[in-house]
Formats: sequence, structure tokens, C-alpha cells
Amino acid sequence: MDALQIEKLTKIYGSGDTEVVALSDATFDVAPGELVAILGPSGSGKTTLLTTIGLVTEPTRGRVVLDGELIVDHGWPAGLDLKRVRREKLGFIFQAHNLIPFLTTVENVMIALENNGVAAKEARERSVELLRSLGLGHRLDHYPALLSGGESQRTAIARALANRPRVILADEPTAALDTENGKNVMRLLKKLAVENHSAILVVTHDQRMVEGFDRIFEVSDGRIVNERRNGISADA
Amino acid sequence: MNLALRDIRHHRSRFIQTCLGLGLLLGVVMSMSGIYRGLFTDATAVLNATAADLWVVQQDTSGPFAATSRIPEDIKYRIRAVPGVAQASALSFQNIQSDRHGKPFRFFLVGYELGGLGGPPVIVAGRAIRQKHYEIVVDRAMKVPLGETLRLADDDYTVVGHTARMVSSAGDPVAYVTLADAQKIQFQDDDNAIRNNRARLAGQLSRLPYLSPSQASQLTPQVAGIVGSTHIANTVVARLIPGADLSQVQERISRWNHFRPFTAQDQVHILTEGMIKKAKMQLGLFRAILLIISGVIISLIIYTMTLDKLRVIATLKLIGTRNRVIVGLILQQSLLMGLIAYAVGYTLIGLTHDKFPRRVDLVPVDLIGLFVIVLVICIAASLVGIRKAMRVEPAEALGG
Ligand SMILES: Nc1ncnc2c1ncn2[C@@H]1O[C@H](COP(=O)(O)OP(=O)(O)OP(=O)(O)O)[C@@H](O)[C@H]1O
Ligand SMILES: [Mg+2]
Repeated sequence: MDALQIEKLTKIYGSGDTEVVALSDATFDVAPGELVAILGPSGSGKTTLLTTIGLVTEPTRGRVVLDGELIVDHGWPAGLDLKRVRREKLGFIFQAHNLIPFLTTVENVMIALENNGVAAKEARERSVELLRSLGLGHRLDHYPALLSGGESQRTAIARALANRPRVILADEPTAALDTENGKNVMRLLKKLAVENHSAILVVTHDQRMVEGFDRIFEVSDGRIVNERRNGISADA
Repeated sequence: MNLALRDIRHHRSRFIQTCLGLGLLLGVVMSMSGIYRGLFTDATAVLNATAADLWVVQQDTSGPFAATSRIPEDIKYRIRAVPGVAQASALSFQNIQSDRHGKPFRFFLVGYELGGLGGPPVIVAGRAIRQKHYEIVVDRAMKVPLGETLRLADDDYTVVGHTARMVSSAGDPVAYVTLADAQKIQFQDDDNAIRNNRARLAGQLSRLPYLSPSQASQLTPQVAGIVGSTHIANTVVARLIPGADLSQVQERISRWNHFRPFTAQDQVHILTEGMIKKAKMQLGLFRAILLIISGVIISLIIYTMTLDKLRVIATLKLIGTRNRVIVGLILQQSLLMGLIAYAVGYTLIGLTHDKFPRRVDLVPVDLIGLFVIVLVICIAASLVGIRKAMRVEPAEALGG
């Protein structure tokens, strides 16, 4: 079963004169554990693609099936618990890493687990283990304000991964980092995708960051204009 | 994991400062209620300490507290003879202002009959008055030590005992002397004045055509005795025998000329509705305004606290945190703040209420009432915050 099936996903902002077609008829599938990069100029609709899949922005049209569950059907199906889907099946990593400022590193990860009903003690143990594996063992009780950009981003990654979601959505996770740290974060994401069998969709501006990805989509004006698979280019 | 406590831990000093500030405010509200209550307690202190059923005063007056009343002391014998009356005694009340150690020294002097009604209710130090003359019991608040003397109307009075928290309706401390001494202080003129009065009286009498000079000079001391009689009291108070019908006794005395019997209840009414009504309204209004101000401030603080957290709330929503947790964060914080502030205010006022110049009565009803009001304000304010929080879109967490 595909982790993600996307069919004619479309998002139109506004109406009439101010209408903006941010995403137009995006159609593709993502297999479990697959690494997908989304490239494109500013304003091309990359973030919109992620937020519509992530149940943050309601799409105008199209269908999305996540892990066998229909989560978009011309908009959000009535009665769908968006938060449940987000906390159980999705992980988010964003450029602004969005750590909770009043929680320590380990607590920032714990909360994602506790959201899914994991008891505090176990949540702490698992969070500590995860953070150690990401090289943050010495930063467990630091507040986000005291972390470097790379450390913050790795904490955000730990939080996104904590529940072993089916799909991880990452919007420019390396934008705030220097090249070296950026590459480290990408390498980490790739490694974790394989280990956890999570599909990962990563939006980036930066061509240099995408080596080793299974597929690369190029987006322009809301359309997927090019798809490369394992370095082989094919027009969409 | 409790988010409310985690957030507070992170902003510890800001939270504590806010609680302290609010605590001060609530302390002021509590003291205001206490002062409001204290005013009433003070106003009725002498009335209650006397514990009389009836207060007989001069006709057409609302004495002895609210207006001047003068009645002959010996009316007490007539009152004692009324069926149902167990005890009746004359009392004299006067305000005294003198100097002591160069500072104005005000108090309210009660003259009572030894063994009668209206004397000092409780002696906290020293003893009660035993001798008919020149002993005085003063309230602790007057700060006159036992054994010291006070000079009143040409005589020295020795302080033999202390009462506690006895004040007049104006808030002045109360002192007690025997009725005879009080009458002397109140009505007896000094020797010069007496001589002058006599001379004037003698002159007037000698000018009367139907009196011979010898008759006139014989009458002078007698008339002077009657005119200058000091056997005047301000009120006669009576206690009834158990089971006696108060309204019947009252009704009977009210049929006499020249006198007006009030029940203790009437006196409470006269005191609270007349004398301290304005002050009470003033304080009551002030208390209400303070409460409103506190409400607005608490609401603003809690609402601002929520506004500060909108981004956090958006992130929590993005990662799928249940609404229950987000509501808990806001509600718990505001309740905790309310509780701590209340505790601070309570502690503060508990430590200081004795040191206020006038009585501050911390009444459980007021304290509990304020507590409930604070809780309601906290909950109401967090509801506004919660409404705001529920409207936050998870997408707001994504913006740079
Ligand atoms: N909330 C919104 N309301 C109206 N228009 C929007 C909104 N969000 C995005 N858009 C428009 O949709 C288009 C796609 O935006 P999107 O944020 O997806 O681009 P992007 O590829 O992520 O750009 P960038 O690389 O700058 O992040 C843009 O034209 C943008 O102005
Ligand atoms: Mg974007």
C-alpha cells in the first residue's frame, strides 16, 4: 500500500480578480520509506502542496489517501478528526522549527508522544533515546532559545519522528542552516526515513541538498512540471 | 506533562511578579471590605457592649449616639418600676478632646453606674473601677499605661484598667468613669463660673417685686441648685426580664411625656442608616470600583498571557495536541494565578489588618465572596482567551 496517494490536488486562494491558483492538479503516489524532494522558485506552490497534504490548508479540489485513509475528498471529509490524523500519521518539520519555547529539548519531543497517549515515563525514555541518536544527548534539558540552529532543527526532527509517522512533511528544513549543517540534516532525514520506513517529502530551494533522493519534483506556478526518479529525468 | 506549570516555570519571575502585583491589589480589596465591615462594628461597639434592650432618651431626639439627649437621671427609678424591666441604669456619653504630650488627644467618655449596665465589657489588663471617684478605665488604643493619671475638668483620674477595641461610633477610643464623675466632668462648671452664675441669679431674684431681699437671698442657693443640677444623664438603658414583651414595655414608656424609648434594633438602624450611611456608601462604592478594576486587570493579564502564546498554541495544534490540553494550559494558568494572588493578598492583609488606625474586620463571607469572584473572573477571562486560542489556525505556526 502506498503511504500517500495524491490525485488532482488543487488549491485556489481567493476568488475573482484576486484568485491565485497556488496548486494545480498535483497527482502522484509516494511509497513507504520513499524520499521525495520538491524543488521550485518562490511562490510556486511548494508550501501549499505540503500544507494541503498536512491537513493545515483545506484544498479546493482533489483527493488524498494517507496510509489507506481518505483525508481529502474535494476538501476535508466531514467528521474527519484532523488533529488525530496529524498526530498519528504525520510529522512536521519547518524552516521556523517551531519548538515550544517553554519546554526543554526532551519535553519538546515528549509532547508529541504524550499527544498519542504514551505515558510520561515511557515518553521521556523514548525521547531521550531518540535525541541521543541525533547527537543531542548533551542538550536534553536546554530550552530552545539556548540551542544552535542545527540543534533546534534536529530537535524538531526528533519531534516529527517520535511517533514514527507514515509521512513526514519538511518545508525547507535546511534554510536556516549553513551548507554543512544543512547537508547533515538532510543525511539524517534520509537515514531515518529508511530506518523508520516513513515517506518523507522535503521542500527545498537548494539543488545541492537533493542528492540521494528517490524522486525529485520540480514545481512551477502551482504545477508539477518535471519529475526525476533516481536521477533519471522524465517530463510530468 | 503539565504545560501550564512548564510555562510558568519558564517565566518564573514574571509570573511571580504578576501574582505579587495582583496580590497587592486583592489585598487592598480585602482591606476595603474589612474597613467597610469595621465601620459597622465600630459604630455599634458601645451599643452592643451595653447589651440593653431599651434605650430611653429625651423626647424628639434620636440620642444618645446620633443626637444630643438629656434626661434626668432619676427617671431610671420609674423605668425600673415598669413591669417586665429587670434592670435600668443611667449612662452619660461625651466626647473629650484634650492635649497629651502636646498632641491632641480624643476619646469618648462613658459614665456608668458601678454595678449597672453599660460599663466596660471586658477588662484586658488591670481591673474594673471600684471606687466611686477618680478612677478611669481606658481603651488600650489610647496608649495610657495603667497607673498613669489623666486630668479631666480639674481632677486627676487614675487609669486602673484597659479595655480592648472599644470605640465610639466616630472611631475614637472609649474611656469609662463612674456616672457621678462623668456628670461632674460634663456639667459642673468651674468655681468662677459658679460664683458668677450665683451673682447673676441673686441679682435677678432681688429684682423680682414680690420677693423681699431676705427671701431672695434665701432662694438663691436653692434655685442655683436646681438650675445647676448635675443629675442629668444622656440615656437610661434597660434590660428586660427573660420572656418579657419588649414592644409592650416600649409602648408603655412611650406614653410618658418627655421620653422616647428605642429598642437596640432601633439604635442599630439609627447608627447605620443615619450616622454612617454616607461613609458606608462611600466605602461600598470604592470597594465595588476596586473589584471592577481588579476584574479588568486580571482579565487583561490572562488575555495577554494567551496572546503571547498564540504561536505556541498554533504549533501545538499543528502537531495534533488535543484541545483539552490547550484549554487546560490557559485555564490552569489563570486559576493558579488567581489562587496565588489571592493567597498573597490574604497573607498581606492577615499580617497588617491589626495595624490599621481603624478596625478592619475580615469577615468570612467577604473573604469567600471575594475568592469566588476572583475564580469567576479568572474563568471568564480564560474563556475569552480560550475562544481566541480555539480560533488559531495551525497554519499560523508555519510563518517565519
Ligand atoms: N494564505 C494565502 N492566501 C492567499 N494566497 C496565498 C496564501 N498562501 C500562499 N498564497 C499564494 O500561493 C502561491 C504559492 O505559495 P506557497 O507559499 O505555496 O509558495 P512556495 O513555493 O512555498 O514559496 P516560497 O519558496 O517562497 O516559500 C503564492 O502565489 C502565494 O502568494
Ligand atoms: Mg514555502
